[in-house]
Amino acid sequence: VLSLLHEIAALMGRWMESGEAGSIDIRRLPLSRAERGALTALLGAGEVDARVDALGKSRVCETGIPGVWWITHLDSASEVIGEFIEVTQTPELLSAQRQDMILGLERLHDRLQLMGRR
Amino acid sequence: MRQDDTLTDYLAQHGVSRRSFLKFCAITASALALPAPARNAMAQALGSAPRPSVIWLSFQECTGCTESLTRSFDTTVESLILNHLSLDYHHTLQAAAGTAAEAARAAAIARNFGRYVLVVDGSIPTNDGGAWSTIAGMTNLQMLAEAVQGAAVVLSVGTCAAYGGLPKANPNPSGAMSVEELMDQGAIASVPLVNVPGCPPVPEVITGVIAHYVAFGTLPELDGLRRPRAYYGKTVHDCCPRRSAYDRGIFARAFDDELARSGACLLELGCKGPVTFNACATVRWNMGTSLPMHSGHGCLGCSEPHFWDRAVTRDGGFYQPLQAPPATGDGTACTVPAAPPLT
Repeated sequence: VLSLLHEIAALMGRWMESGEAGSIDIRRLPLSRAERGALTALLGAGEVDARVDALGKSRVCETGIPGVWWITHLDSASEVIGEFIEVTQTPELLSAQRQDMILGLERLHDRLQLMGRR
Repeated sequence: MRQDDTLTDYLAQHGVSRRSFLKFCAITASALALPAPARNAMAQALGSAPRPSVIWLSFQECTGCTESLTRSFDTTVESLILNHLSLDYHHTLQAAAGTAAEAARAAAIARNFGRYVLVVDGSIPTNDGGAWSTIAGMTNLQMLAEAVQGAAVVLSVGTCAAYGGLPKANPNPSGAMSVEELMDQGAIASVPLVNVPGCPPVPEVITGVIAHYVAFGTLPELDGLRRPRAYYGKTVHDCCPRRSAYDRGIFARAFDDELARSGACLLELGCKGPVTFNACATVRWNMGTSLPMHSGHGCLGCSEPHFWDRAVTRDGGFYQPLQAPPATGDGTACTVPAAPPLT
């Protein structure tokens, strides 16, 4: 747990220097239940707790350390299929994506056109 | 679909949001055990990659490998990636037959020479001039030798292509050989090769390897048998749902007896999990649902070289207790996630 916290601190330092985001794949680590509990307790809970519905649910929580995010991916049967710590200002998963916005704008134009016909 | 469409374009056309794609990439990269920088790069690289040309040759096989890949219950990102590939020749799936199909194969080879992905399922007969299996008047070996020359990479999908499989089992009347053996003997050109064994292989493993190649232009890290280490690094036994019973010495005595139904280990009923390296217990089957041990049946060891002969001659049959000691896996955690289904 201590080495993980050092790694998170290093990722935060790197972000502050270069703006480069970092991530840790929690499920690749041989953490015991107790170690996992200690890690979540040490990081604490932050101000953001967001839900994303894409390929099943995902939960994106900011920890008590701003810029350190705990991301849990679930499948459609609500089983955990991925878990990551991300160090960044805003996880990419939360940001609206340009490609989706382009398609959304097309849909909005279609709706406006439809309303104009009425 | 245009040849220059990217995967992102294609997925968007099929209603898959960019967020869903990011999630798929994060989970696939995790399953491939990619380091953090590569994980971050995967979505960018995979999303913007042009459609790769794929030529799929089926030789001495039962079509189970193709069935494994194409028979998902629901639409998955994997199946969409497969659809996105420019599958220029697959004589089981394609509508064309005869001269038209063979002309399409020749055209695809010429058009993409040096760049296409060659997928092979089935072993290659070499006895009697290769007459045991021919397509359009060509022996399997002739067709493979021709196609390998222009391939950027070869995927031997299934135990037959990877190790010879059932056709190679004793007495091997057709002289069945694997792609790797033919490369080693110089009978066909040597190009980068990855073995994806299993009878059939887990579909997510096939698409995970293809996704890695499409994203990075390289193969994932391979073990000594040219298998992707991330998927074949652990034995089925390492991550078996009945593993705790094995550790406690609780063994079923008969199929479906009281012990078997309460989760006892199936070792004494012939389970080959301790000597079988495969992703069945980590990725699982049917979109992460289960593996044979969940249903009370042991592992047959189908992803290992010579699995049939080994079970029959050394162990005295598939349902006799394993004679060999357990093999050692890579020791990493067993919670490798499966790729998520679309909802």
